[in-house]
Amino acid sequence: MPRQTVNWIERHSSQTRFWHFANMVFVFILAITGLFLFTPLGHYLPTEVMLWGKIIHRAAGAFFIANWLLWIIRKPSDFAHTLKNIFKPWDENDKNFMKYFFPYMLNADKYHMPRQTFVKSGQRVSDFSMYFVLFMFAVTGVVLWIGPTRGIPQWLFDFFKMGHDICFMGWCILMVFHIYLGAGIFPVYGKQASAWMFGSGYVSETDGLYHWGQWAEEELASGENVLEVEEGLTPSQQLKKNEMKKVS
Amino acid sequence: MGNLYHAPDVVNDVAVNQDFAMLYDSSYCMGCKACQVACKQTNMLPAPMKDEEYEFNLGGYTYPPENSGDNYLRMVFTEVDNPNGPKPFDWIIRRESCNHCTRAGCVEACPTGACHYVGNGSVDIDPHLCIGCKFCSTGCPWSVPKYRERDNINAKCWFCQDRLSQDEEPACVKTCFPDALDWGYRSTMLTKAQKRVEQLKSEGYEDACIYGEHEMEGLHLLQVLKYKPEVYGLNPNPSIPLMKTIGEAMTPVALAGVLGTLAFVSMSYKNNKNYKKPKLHYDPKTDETYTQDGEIWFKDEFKRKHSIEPGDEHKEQKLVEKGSDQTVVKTQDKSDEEVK
Ligand code: SF4
Ligand code: SF4
Ligand code: SF4
Repeated sequence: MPRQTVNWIERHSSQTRFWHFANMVFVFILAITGLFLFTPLGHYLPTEVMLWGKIIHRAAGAFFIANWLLWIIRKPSDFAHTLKNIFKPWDENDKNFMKYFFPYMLNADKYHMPRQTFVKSGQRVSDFSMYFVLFMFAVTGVVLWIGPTRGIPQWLFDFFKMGHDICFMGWCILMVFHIYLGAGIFPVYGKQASAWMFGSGYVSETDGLYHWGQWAEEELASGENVLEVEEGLTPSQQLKKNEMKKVS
Repeated sequence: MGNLYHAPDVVNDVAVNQDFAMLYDSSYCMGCKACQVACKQTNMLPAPMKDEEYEFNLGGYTYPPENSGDNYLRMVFTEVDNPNGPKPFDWIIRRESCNHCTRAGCVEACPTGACHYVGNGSVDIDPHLCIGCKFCSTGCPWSVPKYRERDNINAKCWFCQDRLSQDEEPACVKTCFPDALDWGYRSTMLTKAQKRVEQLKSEGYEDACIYGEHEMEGLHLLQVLKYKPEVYGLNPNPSIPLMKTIGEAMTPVALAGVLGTLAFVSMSYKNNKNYKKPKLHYDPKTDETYTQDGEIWFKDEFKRKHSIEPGDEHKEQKLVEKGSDQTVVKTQDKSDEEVK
């Protein structure tokens, strides 16, 4: 007797998930070391720790920039696609989604969010803000590393130091939202949300339709990235099982 | 870092809680630069020894073009036309080094505590605590602290704390033979400066003034000037740079922002704790998404798609029912499969 299956849609490839994971690690290191380097908290640490903190902060910054550059160089089409998604024009659904998003966060029962494409309009705002802040972090960080000697005038150094501080403020706020929503602490999203980036990368049919209706409908209609998962199995287990079947 | 010339143990012996200051009287200065040399010597700061090491410096007597991690003090020479003054043309000199502010932006900007008030009016950078982040320079109105690459630290004039601890005056003061430099209690230096300014005024230098009496809540390098500070290229109203103030304000702003955002998400969490997400599925035949009860999920768009006007419930009902039937059919397909 065949077991009942549930549809899951591939949301993030393993490469994207690894890239995101690497970003997360670097950003975490940058945030912790930065907290001591850029606030008076550093007064409480021994010089050696601060010195290492500075070296690690810079190294993490360099790896972080390299991680992005590698992605852009290896998959320019992905990068172009991401930018296109962020900057594509907003339709009625997108506008309504953003209009109701904060009231919806406060009382999801009251609002029915409109169909969304692969990246929701709210995600587009957040992605744009994050990419912008990260870009500014990188540029200002490089100047802070080099200057104010070696051709970088003092005023530019001062200006970019201020820029780095402003980015830090913006980043803190963005991160609270990102973690609350992305890690599925928001009860409406549920803890399965974290699996989309940290687990199998697959989203269930019901979640896909709920969050990105138009994208999920298109995917389900084409069936290309759809995985039929037997009841009781996770997408990863199903993938393994399918793999074993192929081998045998 | 072990070879850095700085003696924190000795510095600890410097008399604290006493307000000392240096007085530089530009009207007595003859521009010999002996103070610059003394500073280099006493602090063991290397000087360029080969022609190619000299920094290019066209058309002026000031050298080096700017202070550095290996040069804490330089005398800045300016030529001024002054037809209304006692001299129609004057060659004026000022001292450029750390001003040892009462409110020191460098101390506020330093994340490690390396930049600190010694307690005797001086501001010092402890090289053993400095990590070379260079942030102190962003807090200083004159960008005084400079990076010294070979030691990975920022450095500046420290009023020769090692000499002070031995009851000696700073090296530059000791070396200045026309007594353009003096050292003592700030109150004494101030009285001396005030007297000299009065004298200069009586000699026709009507703009003569003291630079440092009130600036940054009082500098510990007091300069007697014959003309207005601007004439010497000095900022008459120095303040903590705005960019540093904005940058530093970001820490409390970020904290407030995070707390505000946390309050918002906590409210969101509390209000949605019992939210039941509908089970949804997609029917390719109707190209619609349905709830487990067979209801169309994106209803508004459905109405728009089928041009259902408000009040046209009949048409809506018919279309929805059609959709629901197919949903049921789909579910039955699955059960059939199961039966097989
Ligand atoms: S040693 Fe005295 S006279 Fe010579 S430049 Fe320095 S302050 Fe002026
Ligand atoms: S002049 Fe600049 S470096 Fe010197 S104490 Fe004042 S703020 Fe600090
Ligand atoms: S360079 Fe040194 S003295 Fe200046 S802010 Fe950084 S740690 Fe402090």
